[in-house]
Amino acid sequence: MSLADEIINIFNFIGSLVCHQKQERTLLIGGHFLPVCARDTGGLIGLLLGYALLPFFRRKRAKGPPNLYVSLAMMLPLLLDSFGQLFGLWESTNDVRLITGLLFGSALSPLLVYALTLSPLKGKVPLLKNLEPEAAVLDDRDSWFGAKALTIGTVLSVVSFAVVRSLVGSEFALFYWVLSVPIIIEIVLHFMVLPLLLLAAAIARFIKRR
Amino acid sequence: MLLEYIISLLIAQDEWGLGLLGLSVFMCLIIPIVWFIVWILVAIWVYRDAESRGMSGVMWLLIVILLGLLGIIIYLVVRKDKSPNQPPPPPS
Repeated sequence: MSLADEIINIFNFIGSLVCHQKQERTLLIGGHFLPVCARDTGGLIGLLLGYALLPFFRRKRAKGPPNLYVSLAMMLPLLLDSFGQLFGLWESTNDVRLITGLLFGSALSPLLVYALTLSPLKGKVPLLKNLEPEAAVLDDRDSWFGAKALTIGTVLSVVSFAVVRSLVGSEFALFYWVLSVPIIIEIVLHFMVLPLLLLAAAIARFIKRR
Repeated sequence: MLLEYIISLLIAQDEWGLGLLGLSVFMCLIIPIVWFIVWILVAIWVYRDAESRGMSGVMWLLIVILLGLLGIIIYLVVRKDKSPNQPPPPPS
């Protein structure tokens, strides 16, 4: 087995920890199925898009949460599509899974960073601590990440959908690596590192109070 | 698929396999517990916040438990503003 095949097996193993990996719901790119399904692929790429927008479009001195109406509008399609399929109302397609995932992910990352400011991890997560708002006040109407920024996220999600969609079925292996490496890094960071940091910070705070 | 893989690791009993098994247990058990605890704590916060604003804490607790993140966002969108002179909710 070549090194590339070994790495792909490891990627698939990591993906299996968070995703069902049903082949009919997973994108085939560069001759290999991605480590996670189309919806999770969209969500994880969407998260990256959201993080990429933060340095340019966040309003540093604002304290209110990201625009909740637009965030909700971006996240609802995934919920509706998932539940519709779960209850047998319709059978979704990989295209719909991908675009709903992208929209959901790009709305989620600003919310996640904002939520960090409210958690014991405030100012403690490398890379993200420089993007956090100075303070988080949920009642404040002045959004730290406004509707304009989220709309740009929506546009980028649509563009990303078109790009990823065009790669499906391609035999060029580089495309697989370009997508799967960031996907795996994000799974490790969001599903392993972040919960551990949260647990450690909560325990540290508990010990401090005692 | 994951279960079959874990069983094959147990049968193989090599160090690499056992390491992956440990990672599987960690990911499938400990991490979900952490997120579950976070979810419950947030739901409790929503309950208290709703009650302090004269809204139904129980209803919103259930909505957040059922809908998770979307429930929290919906709550933040629709919750009443806190007025400085708002009387405390009546005792149950």
